[in-house]
Amino acid sequence: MITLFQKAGLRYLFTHPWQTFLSSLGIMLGVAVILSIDIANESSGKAFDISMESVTGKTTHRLSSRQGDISLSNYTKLRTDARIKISAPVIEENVKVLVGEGFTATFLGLDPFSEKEFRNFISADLTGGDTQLAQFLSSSNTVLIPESFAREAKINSGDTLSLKWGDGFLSVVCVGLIKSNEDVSGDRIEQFIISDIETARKLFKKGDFVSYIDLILTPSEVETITKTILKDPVLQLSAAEKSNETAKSMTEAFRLNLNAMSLLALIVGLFLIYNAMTFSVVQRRKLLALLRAAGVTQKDIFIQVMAESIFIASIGTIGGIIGGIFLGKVMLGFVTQSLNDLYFVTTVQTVSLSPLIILKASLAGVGGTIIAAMFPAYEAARTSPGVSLKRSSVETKLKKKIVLFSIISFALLVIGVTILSVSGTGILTGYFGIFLLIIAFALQTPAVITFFVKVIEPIIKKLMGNRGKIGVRGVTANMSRTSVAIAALAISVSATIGVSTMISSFRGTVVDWLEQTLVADVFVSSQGLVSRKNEAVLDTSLIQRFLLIEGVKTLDFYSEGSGTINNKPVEVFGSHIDPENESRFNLKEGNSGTAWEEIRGGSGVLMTETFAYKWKYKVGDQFTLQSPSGLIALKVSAIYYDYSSDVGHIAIDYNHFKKYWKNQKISGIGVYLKDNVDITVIQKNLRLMFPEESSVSIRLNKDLRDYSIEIFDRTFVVAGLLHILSVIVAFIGVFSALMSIQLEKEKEMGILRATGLTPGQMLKMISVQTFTIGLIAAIIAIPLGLVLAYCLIYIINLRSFGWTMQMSIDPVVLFQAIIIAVSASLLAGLYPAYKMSVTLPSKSLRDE
Amino acid sequence: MRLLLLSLSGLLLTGLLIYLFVNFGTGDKKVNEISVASIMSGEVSGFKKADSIRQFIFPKDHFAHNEYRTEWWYFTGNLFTQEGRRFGYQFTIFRNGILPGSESDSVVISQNSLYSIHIGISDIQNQKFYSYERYARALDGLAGSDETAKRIYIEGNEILFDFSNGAELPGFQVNSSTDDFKISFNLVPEKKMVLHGDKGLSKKSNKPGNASYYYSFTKLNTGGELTLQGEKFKLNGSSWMDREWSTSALESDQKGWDWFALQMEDGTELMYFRLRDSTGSTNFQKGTLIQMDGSYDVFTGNDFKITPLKNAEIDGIKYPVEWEIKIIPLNFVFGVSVAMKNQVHPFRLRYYEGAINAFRKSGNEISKGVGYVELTGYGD
Repeated sequence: MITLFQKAGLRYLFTHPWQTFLSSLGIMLGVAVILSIDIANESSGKAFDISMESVTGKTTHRLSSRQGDISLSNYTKLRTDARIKISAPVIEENVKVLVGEGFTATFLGLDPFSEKEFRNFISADLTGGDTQLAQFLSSSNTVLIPESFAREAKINSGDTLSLKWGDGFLSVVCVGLIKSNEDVSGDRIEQFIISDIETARKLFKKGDFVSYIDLILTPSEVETITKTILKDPVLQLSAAEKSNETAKSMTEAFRLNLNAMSLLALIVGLFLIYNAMTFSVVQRRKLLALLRAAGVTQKDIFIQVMAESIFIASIGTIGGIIGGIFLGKVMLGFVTQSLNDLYFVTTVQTVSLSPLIILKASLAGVGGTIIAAMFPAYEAARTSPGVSLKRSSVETKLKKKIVLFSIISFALLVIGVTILSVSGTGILTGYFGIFLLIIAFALQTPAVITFFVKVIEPIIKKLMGNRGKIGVRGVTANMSRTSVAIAALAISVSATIGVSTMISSFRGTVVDWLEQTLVADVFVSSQGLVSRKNEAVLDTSLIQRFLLIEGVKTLDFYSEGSGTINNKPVEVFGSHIDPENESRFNLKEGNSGTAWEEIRGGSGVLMTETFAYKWKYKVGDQFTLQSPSGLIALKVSAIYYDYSSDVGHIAIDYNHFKKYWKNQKISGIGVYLKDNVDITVIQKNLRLMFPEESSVSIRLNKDLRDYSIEIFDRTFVVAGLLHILSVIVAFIGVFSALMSIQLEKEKEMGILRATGLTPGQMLKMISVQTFTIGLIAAIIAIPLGLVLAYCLIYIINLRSFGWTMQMSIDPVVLFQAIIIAVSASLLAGLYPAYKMSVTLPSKSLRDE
Repeated sequence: MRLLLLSLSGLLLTGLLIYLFVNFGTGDKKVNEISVASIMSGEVSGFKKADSIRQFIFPKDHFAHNEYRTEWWYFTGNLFTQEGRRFGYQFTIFRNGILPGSESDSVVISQNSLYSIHIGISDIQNQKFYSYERYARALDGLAGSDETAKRIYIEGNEILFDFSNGAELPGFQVNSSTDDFKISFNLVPEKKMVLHGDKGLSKKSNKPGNASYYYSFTKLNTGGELTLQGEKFKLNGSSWMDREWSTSALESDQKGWDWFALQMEDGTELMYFRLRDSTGSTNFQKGTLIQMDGSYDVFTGNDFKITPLKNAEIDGIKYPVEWEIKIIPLNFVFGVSVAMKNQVHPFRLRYYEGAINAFRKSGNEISKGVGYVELTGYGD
């Protein structure tokens, strides 16, 4: 049964619906943001897992070649000489199905007779003679498609599909849909196209090669393979989970940062809750004192206030979960796009919602509220029947505490900076340090308020007389509440400044880098499905043919291969750089004179900054690179800036590269032209060297630069969106907090009105106050924002991705911040001013 | 306090409802396998049928016939160590046609032919049966029928032909290498090739076209080595080789077959098979009796009478393990019993393939012998 006392608490919430609503809204947005990011991260992660799992199946190991495809003779050897029992050759290619807006899909060429132990797409029995199977095998271009994918892409059995693959197009016929069934765990959503391995071999012109051989091995079989087949240095045996892990760990930093940014929204939300609960307690001070006098215990009051806050939190959290699910779908789209641009091709069709992430969001909402409400509830419980009637007691106490706050603030600042400087490469510790800095700044709010009001009070008095002075003084007079509101506003605005500055600095750095790096006049490459990567499809013979074109001066080109350093996979570029163009590599470390000599001599390697940071290499370090044709001893000659991928790579001279990575195709060619050559003519001539249906792109310098920046901007859509959301949370929070403050001053205003203040004058007075609040918030927010930006750029980004950027402060961003802070607080004053202007003074003063 | 609990439980309940709502209908899904359950009865058009007498051409006919659906090279034998320890063995390479016909040269991994091997070793002394099965699509070096190399092979197992005595009287080398055992046998024919049925066209029912091309080498002197679980045995004895190809299927009223190959000490051999209906009665039967000099006679239909005398249960399935087989016109009575109980291949298509003992009584004379039996369709 709910007691009368509890009913009174609930009633309070219902009689102040706006206040309740706005507090809930703050929590709701915070929870929604956290949940949506979790959903986006988990769904894309799960989709990746599923597609990896579907591709790898129950595979324990994979035999592949460092040179790309693996010869089928190795498959024969595995089964005949090494007597490996369970193996399956696989051809895997990424294609784009040209239906509707286009779907990226994984094309798998499988042997139905080897598949039973591995995947459950297709597995034929051993006796043959099946009509369906015969149809699947009988033609050179027949494929099967999972039903779910067919539905999504509106493909029917019997349809002819056009596929874009690398540089060309393929035509296949879907002869059947693989039905969905109920009895395997997890929803398997596959964007797969499956053909017989022989069909795939012909379609993708694989000759006697396949992409890899999947294996299910016992430990003794692993040993056998190591002793026999792996004697060929071209071959590598990798454990299945390991290759999944490598791919996944690439995106770890990316995900972690998204999570951290979503927490920011919650932190702002918590400030709001604290504020709202404090307000509701302070407003009922008289009632609470009466209750205490009537015999209600401290414990009862504490529980009562906590229960109220949990009630608000529940409403907010439920709303937040519902909103988060919808927001999650939007986020998922952006996150998937970024993942595809940056790392690998993954397609996400379903929003996966695990109980765990809902629990996490609920805990953040309710748990956060409980923590935030603890202080006001404690404050309320401590009210002794007599003193609590005096509201000013809290203000007096706070003023006494300003010095203490400053000391704590300074201590936190020291701890925060220490953590940031000694925590090495930890991303989470980095965020924790930043969190401490934020709190430190927030604790300075009362001191800043006191100081600022003292400074502007005489100015305002001169300009607006006593009414202005009253307005300004009101900020300090109600400091217990204004300081929290100002701190909340300042933190959210500073987040805006920090994130915007980080993004614009990053963008500026990338633009500069592109300017410096993309110096060739025309670029020839084939766009891979991962936007940041080019597909290696260009024949080496093109080099000679390009040089014969009239007007072409020199060429730069590169080829890609993979190797390992200490068993860790490494992307290796074989770059041919014309000596004239060496300067386009912006070296971070290393002597440009000797470095190039070493590289051309074959002993030196160029390393991207991200790679060097991740694997802790310095110029002069020596290491051994495992290539398809054996080990290469190399030395780090120089480290250079590269923003093309956070995975990083190393580059060696092309002439040496081709000795170890044989028959590797070229990924991209940069063409430099002689002076006074018509660039469009050259572009046309280059185009003529490729078949019409070829998807090789021949871009002019400016086009490629624009395209690169477009991808960059796309990558930051999520960050931008999160940042807008946290601004909205802040806005609503500040709005509700300030409105409550103004509403609370109803009585004060009543007296002023009764003594002759006109509604217009009152509006002016309130506006001066809210303007001051906004301005103070902006004053705190700007230095805090810049500190945040600094930390994001030089600590978080560096630790997450290994990039260094030049921090550039955009005055527009700072100006915007001031506008946000001031307009949010000005707007918050309008409704109370209006309300008080239409209320008769006698009504507000009825109590007196 | 109650309000607190109320709020919390309300929250949990709502969370649960949202979760259920969102996940409703997105239940677990699975991608189906393409089922080839209808293995033996599935009709694939385009394969040739054994519907007329064939002019065999050797050595060509020793190798694959891609235009037919099923084909096998079937060796069975009873071999002994010098001390008299007995081992039975079966070594069979099957070719199953997925699609009919030969493929163009550009094909690497065959879409037409699937090869498989079944090996059974019966260690009679220890009553232990070793079973081995592998399969692979025809792929150069992995599995196939190679006329030039005179070789039928799959993974580390192979049959090598020796045509030094002419293509119609080939010798064989049978090699196998598995985790459990290694085989290296040399087989030399003592008798000429036996064409079963009507000049090698062996009917499986009264329906035309439901037949196979079937010839045998019924007496192959065999010597070689068997390494079993690391222990090496030098063996000698005799083997039987069956060579058969067809596109035939079981009739709807046929459930399985019993096949016998007997090698008697008196120098005669008997091949006898019968197809059973679902009651276990004989639906169709046939046999060939080979004389000491290699001449042979074909017996059909009512010439035979087979009576199972004893059953044994293996893995829950009852198999006959003792029989009486009568050739009525000759008044021959064969007593046949399995050399050890469990000789069942636990494959998806489970069947009994085992060494047998036999004797024939004619008057007071008793001739003993050994041989092999194949029992299919039991327990289905």
